[in-house]
Amino acid sequence: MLQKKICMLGAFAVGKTSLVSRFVHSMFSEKYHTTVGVKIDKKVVELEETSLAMVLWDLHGEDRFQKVRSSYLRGMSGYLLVVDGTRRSTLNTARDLRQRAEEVVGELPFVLVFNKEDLRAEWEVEEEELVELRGEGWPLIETSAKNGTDVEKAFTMLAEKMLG
Amino acid sequence: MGASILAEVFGALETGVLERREDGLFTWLSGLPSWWGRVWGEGGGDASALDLGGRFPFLENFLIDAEIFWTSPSGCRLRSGMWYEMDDAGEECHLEASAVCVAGRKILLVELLKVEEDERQRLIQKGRDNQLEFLRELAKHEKTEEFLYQVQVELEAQVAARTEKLKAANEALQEEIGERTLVEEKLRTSLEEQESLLEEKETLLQEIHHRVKNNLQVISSLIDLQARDFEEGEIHDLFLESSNRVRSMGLIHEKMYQFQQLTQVDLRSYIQALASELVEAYRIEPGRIGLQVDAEEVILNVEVGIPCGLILNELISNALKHGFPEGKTGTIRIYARMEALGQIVVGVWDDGVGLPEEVNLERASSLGLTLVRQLTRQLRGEIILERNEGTNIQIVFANPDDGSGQTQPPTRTAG
Repeated sequence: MLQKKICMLGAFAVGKTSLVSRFVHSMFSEKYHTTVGVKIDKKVVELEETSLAMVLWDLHGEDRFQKVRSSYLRGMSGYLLVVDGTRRSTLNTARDLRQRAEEVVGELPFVLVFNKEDLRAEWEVEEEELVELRGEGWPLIETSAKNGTDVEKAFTMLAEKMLG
Repeated sequence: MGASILAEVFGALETGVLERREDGLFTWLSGLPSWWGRVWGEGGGDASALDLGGRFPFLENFLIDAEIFWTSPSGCRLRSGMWYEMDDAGEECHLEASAVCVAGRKILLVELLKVEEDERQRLIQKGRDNQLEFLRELAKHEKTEEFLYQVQVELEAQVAARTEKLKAANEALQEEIGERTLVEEKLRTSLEEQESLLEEKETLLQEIHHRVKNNLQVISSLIDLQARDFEEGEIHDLFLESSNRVRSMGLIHEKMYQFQQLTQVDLRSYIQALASELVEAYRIEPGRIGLQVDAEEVILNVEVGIPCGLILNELISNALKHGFPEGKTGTIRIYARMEALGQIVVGVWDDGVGLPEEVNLERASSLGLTLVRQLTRQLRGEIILERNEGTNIQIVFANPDDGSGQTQPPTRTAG
């Protein structure tokens, strides 16, 4: 069975751990519990022609307290860049992390995930900006780890990109 | 002995010490930490040949860096950073690995982070919670600011629109004020012209009344002159009566131009003047006949004033001439008043000898009484004769200027 390392990248409290928890364990917790360090989980996804074991590296959120070590990115086959739609600044962090990732491991498949779709009314990121990002070629999906909207689809989308 | 103590020390620190073998597997140098079995599972694995990389992906990644470190060490140890592993009870275990090189031997330390790491995590959690709270407050603040800015923009737009409207209204008002000022100026000019015309008209009217009165006085004087051609007697009296009639008419005009309203006459003032003149004209000895004027303020226009004046002239003259013959003494009372419904009552009462019983006012042929009858008819009035306690002749007629618009039939009233 194919096995791929996937990193969850993004600012703190954007929902990286919640996305993994929803995807792997079908669970969600309302309480924010910050990740310090690295959590590794694994899930096998069935694609059209093959099965893929996704080894999910849930890295701590990037902020002034913790920087993502470059060594954590080594060996990954793709990554999910997670953004909190209610906080515009997390989109800038995602742009920075993408640049860092490409400096360390080169261009790899990734998916830009706009999480917290259930709080759409509170989003600071406008629809026009999403259209603009899509226009610039960013693979983009809107999810809600809280209610599960398109979480599976986000991971599958990345898996297909990695295998494609 | 030394190795045993060290093993106990590492055990107390919950730290496992492993050495990397040439084949890449690891072997324990210390005893197995108490937590190891829970994390590794399956009894803790083969203590002399552990495939750490295969078991823990995080360590597999770290060992790449560790190999480099062991080959050419820089510093005393290389830390992996913290990672989580789930133990067999489903609890998260916080672990950190360190690569150490001792006398060329490749040593790997694996620690279970407990108190310190929990505290570190608590601090980071608190810091991030605070930061999230701050960001939420900031977002709220920004939204409030944005809302206030929008409100301010809307208000400014409304103020601007309102100001524009007020400006337009003000301009329109100024224009209207200008127009009104012009109209007022025209009205004032017109009013001044009208006042001037009115003044001129009044002056002319006054002049006319004055001239008419003068002319009537001249006529009266001419008649008086003519009367001198005759001895005292009937003809002389006829001239005198005619002269008195003309003078009574002139007196009306005199009272009119003396009164504030040039088209009206004050009856009370007129009666007083007329009675005095007639007493003088008939040369009544002072004190023989008492003259009482009992008149309220009654204002008449010229159309009513002249016939009313002539009637009073005839009635007073009649009383003076015939009421007190042969030096008889007595009183003549002349009265005038305004009754209800706009009726005017004028009359002459005397306590003289009285009219002879055979005299009927309706059929009397004397000029004086004929004039009284005709003039009363002209006034649409009524003559009332009373012979109780003297002679009282009164005329009752409606005042056409009473403002009621109705002419009331005269009603009998006591003198």
